[in-house]
Amino acid sequence: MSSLSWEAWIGVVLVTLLLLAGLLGPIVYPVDPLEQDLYRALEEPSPAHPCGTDELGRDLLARLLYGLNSTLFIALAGVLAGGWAGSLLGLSTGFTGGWWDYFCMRFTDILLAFPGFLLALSVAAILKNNHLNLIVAIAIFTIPGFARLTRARALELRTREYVTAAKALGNGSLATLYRHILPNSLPLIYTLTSQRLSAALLTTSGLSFLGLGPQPPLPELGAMLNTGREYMWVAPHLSILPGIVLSLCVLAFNLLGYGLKKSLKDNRH
Amino acid sequence: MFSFTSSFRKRLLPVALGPVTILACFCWFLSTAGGWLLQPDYTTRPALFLSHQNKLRPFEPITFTATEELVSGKIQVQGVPGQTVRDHHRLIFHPDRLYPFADELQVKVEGWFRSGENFTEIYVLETADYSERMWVEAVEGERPQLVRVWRGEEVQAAFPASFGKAGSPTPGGVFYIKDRGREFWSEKYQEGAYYWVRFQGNYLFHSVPFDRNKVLKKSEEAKLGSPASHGCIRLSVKDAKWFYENVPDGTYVIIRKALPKPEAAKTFSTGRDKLVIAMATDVVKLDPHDTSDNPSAIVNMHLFDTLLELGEDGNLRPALALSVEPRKNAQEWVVKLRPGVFFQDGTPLTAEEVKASFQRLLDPTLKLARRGLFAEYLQKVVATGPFTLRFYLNQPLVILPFFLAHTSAAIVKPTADGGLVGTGPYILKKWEPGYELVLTKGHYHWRKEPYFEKLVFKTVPEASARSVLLETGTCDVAFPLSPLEVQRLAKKDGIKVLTEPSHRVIYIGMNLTKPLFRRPEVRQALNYAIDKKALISRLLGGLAEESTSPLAPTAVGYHRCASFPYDPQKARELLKSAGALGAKVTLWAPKGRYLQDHKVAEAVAGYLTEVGLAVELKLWEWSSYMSMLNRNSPQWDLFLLGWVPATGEAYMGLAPLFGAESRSNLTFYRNPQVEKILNEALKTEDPGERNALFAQVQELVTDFAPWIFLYVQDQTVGLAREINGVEVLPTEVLAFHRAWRNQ
Amino acid sequence: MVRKTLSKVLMTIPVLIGVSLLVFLLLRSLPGDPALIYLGPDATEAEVIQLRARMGLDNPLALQYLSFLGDLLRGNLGTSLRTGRPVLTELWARVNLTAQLATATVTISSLFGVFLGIFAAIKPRLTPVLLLLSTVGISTPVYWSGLLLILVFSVHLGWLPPAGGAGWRSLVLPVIALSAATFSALFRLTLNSYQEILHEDYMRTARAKGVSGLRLHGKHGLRNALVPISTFLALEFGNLLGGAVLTESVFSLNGIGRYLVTAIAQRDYPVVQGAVLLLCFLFVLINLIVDLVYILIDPRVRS
Repeated sequence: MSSLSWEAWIGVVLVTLLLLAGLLGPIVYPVDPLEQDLYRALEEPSPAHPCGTDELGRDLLARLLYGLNSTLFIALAGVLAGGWAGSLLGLSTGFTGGWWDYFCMRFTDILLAFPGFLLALSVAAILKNNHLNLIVAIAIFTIPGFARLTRARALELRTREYVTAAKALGNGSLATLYRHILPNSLPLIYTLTSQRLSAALLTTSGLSFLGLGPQPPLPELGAMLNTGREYMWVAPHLSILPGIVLSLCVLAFNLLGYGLKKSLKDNRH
Repeated sequence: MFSFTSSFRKRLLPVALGPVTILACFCWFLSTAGGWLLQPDYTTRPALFLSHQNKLRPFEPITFTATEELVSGKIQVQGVPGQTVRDHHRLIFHPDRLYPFADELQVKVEGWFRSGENFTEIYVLETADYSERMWVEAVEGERPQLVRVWRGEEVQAAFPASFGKAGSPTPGGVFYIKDRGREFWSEKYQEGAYYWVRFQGNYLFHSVPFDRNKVLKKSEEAKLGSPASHGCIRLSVKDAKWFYENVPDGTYVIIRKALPKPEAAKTFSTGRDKLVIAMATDVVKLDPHDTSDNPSAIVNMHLFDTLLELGEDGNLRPALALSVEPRKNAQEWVVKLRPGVFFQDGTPLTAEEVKASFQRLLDPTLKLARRGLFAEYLQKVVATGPFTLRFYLNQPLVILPFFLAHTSAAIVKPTADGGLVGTGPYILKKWEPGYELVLTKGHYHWRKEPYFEKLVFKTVPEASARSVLLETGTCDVAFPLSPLEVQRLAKKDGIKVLTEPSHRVIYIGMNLTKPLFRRPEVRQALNYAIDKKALISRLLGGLAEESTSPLAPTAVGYHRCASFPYDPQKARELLKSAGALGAKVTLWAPKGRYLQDHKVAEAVAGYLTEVGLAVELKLWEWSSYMSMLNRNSPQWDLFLLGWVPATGEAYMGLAPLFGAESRSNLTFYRNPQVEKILNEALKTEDPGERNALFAQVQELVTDFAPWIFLYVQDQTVGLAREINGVEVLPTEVLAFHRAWRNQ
Repeated sequence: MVRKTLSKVLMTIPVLIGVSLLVFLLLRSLPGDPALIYLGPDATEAEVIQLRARMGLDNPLALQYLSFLGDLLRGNLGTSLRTGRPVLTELWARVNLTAQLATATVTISSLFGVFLGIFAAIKPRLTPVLLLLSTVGISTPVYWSGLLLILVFSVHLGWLPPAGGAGWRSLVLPVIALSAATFSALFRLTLNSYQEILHEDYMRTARAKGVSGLRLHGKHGLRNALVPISTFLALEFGNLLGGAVLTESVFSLNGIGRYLVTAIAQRDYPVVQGAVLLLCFLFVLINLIVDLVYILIDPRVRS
């Protein structure tokens, strides 16, 4: 692990902190994010409410934690689902080639013809607005990228000696795939996952900003930014704080991704 | 990494720069192509043509009409001084001196079209030969008003006269004497006159009037020289006699109106000015017969007029109709139209047009949204004269005048291309749905011409965006303002904020077809569960009043009933006793239509959750909301909605919401007693008795509680400080007819 | 080369067809009867049946798709359920603004990003800091940076309008917000690629020959960096279209992006369909152009 660059290290630290905050936050800070108190609406940060309150008097810190939780969960689940589906697709087609390869690649081309956010937007627009459907949208949005790059990797690996050796020894395709191709593709997959996570986070909150995510009163970072827009003059903390949390998240995963990529490159040389 | 090696060095730079350049070019192309395509279609060049066929008669105005609006223009007639009047599409030359008879005049006309092209044209017109003939000239704008009888180029006689007074003007133009008589009597005006000589329709030269006993009205005689008549031209008895005896049939009469003096218009310059208005939602349709939303009503009000109109004080005043009188215990009504009104396509408003407009509204095949408003009561409309109509109803309806003032009872006339034209002061210039709608002043005005040349309605859904547009001066009017904005903007120098009460009642209706809401304990519990004071003070900035009735206090016929205090404990108990704790309910609400609507809904969901219900909130964009609130498939449990009785009185505030078969009754409330009382009220002429009946209905409804009664919201309008004269009606409609800007 | 060009062009056609098929299927999978949505809740049974027949909704799906494709090829993207006007007209009225936004963003971020990237590559002292800053730039969601810009420049300073309608001034803040992300990414890319280029043989040779300063970096360095930059820009254009959707919403600009969002909220499906198709089409076109340019300049083909 010492081969990780400094960027990756910052990324790891930040990501860990954020994940901890998201997971343990609600336990450490057990305030109900849905509990409203109109008489204490739009308050500035105070000891009672460390981040202030929102327009319905709900504790902002609690909402930030739950929102972080929610956004992270959706983005992670989406990328993992899409990433693995895409990787399997890419690796298998890259390795086997032929009709299957051609067909899948055309399909990927079609998906790639959609500008990323638009693809997620189209899917989210069709489906009902809840957590699960947002995960589906993110997954679909993630698949093509993974498929493309893992396929390239599989193509590259296909010509390596140990693969041809394995084939010569009579190992089946599936076994070769599992034992040789996959392990050698893992670093790439991890890097990609991290990179795509930041895009997924931005897309998730972007979709909830437009109102296509979990509906109120459930807290969601993008939606909170949208609400904050109305109160910019009287309560800027409503616009600033969710944005900071979101940006930190994305930054964390970006740094991690860049660091991993760099380490990958350094390791190869 | 791309490993382009040395051979790449030999490539030229432009090619590698290609993608960026191409991208930029592509975008540039799109924007210019888009801009070019959006230009108006100039397949025809604008042109000017002369509106004359025959020879010019004495003092006859020369009119040129253009295919496009004119920005400026001047007509010069060789040897004849005069003034040019420009009226949108037309240039009219009014001579100050008599044209030479039997001559050829060179007429030069020059000016600029709106599109930027200019024109200079020369015509040669022949003048008629009146050198041996007698002709009559009347100049209205002079004081004292005179009728001059000419022979050729000499004035033979000049008589002091009274032309039409304000409200009943004498028509201007070219006429010929038709027939005559010794005397006549008018029942309508209860006066008669001697020696009448007709020049047009009902317009005559005649003597000063006499009364029933043939006694000449001395007071009227004193008025000769200034306007006093109902449109005819009055002369003294002696002069009328002379006229009767000496001016033969077929004599040419020219009535010249007052010419505007160039400086006089300064006090109220109706110029190029435009008023920019930012509203929350877009117009749904430019058809007053087919829309019920407020933005459409506001825009339609400037395009079309109704027979009567509601003033800011809630009283009715004449508009297109001068009077609406009942006959036969309010089952028959006589309507007298205002003469001299034109549709913006130049056709006059007559009884036939009004009849056609109502027939359109009632036509079952057109299925217009507002048909229901009249279909129940109106049997038929008959035109009994050019400006009179009779309305025949199925049943007595004492409040018909209020109905006729409803914005949906506007008088419209279909055009050839499927649109509608109205008598309102403005016409549609362009409409980019969801973005902007522009109205421009029409040519025909029966009211005083409005100050603003253009009205620009912008759709800006976010309240904060609207208020910033107001602050930066991008718009002049912004509404509604969010409560936060009201306090902030009121302190700004260049802005004034109007907060007026409205008839708008905001409520949450219960779907009574669901068994849960059939239990009175549940209905009451829902009402006890909401802290209305908190909603009003914290979410609405105090710009509302707690509901104490299904009607707003400003509505005619409002009766104060009991209201439910905030008592979550009691609510919980009631729910428990009904076994409804933990029940799942869906709450539907629109987003962005009413002040803080989605926030109020969210807060209400919170309150209901606190007392033990499981609430699922569903927010809708306004136009989808309206189509989803469909009586045929009621999928909601609770829904948030607002209501304004556009007539400003109780019947339209109660019947549409609580009448069993009413389209707007989304709670499915059904109470035969209420129906009976409402029907009774329609026949009750005495307002006191009528209001007592309405009070009964309000008590019954409040008692039953088919709603969570919330509040009556105020109207909040932000104006630039120099804008005056904007009328804010409690029906939440803004009128800009009399608005002006203080320069 | 001609063959490669032709094959590239031909390849896009099945992709475009595939996209149209996907969009068609996506929208057909929606719950609810399109005819009922179009006519509204007061429609009678007979009317719904009539309209379904007219819209061809009872035909087999394949046939519906073919007629849909036929309409597309003739430029008929359907009519908006809300306004009844042709979707293409509505889109075309708004493409102006989105195009202006995109052009300005691409131009500004390219100029600044590329030159700053080269500059940073030459002076390696600042690199780590600048890299971190650029990562921050990429990480900030465009709608948040937009909100912050409004907060500072409209609310506090009052210099610029926070919403559309005020002419070119309305575009300043959105372009800054959008450019920030693109610029950061471009800067990073240029920095990385240029750093590699600096170590290449031909650069060292040129330096040995005495070429320096502007000539060195401009003529030799930049040329080689432009290829990955252009590839990136083509891809970024797609992100830009997505970003435009969000930016237009924040700043209430009347472009295609905001129109798409409004149409989704209003369930105006023909418009959603049309806008998505148009944006995809543009994206594919841009990518095709970039591919074709590569074919032109790829030395492997020439030799």
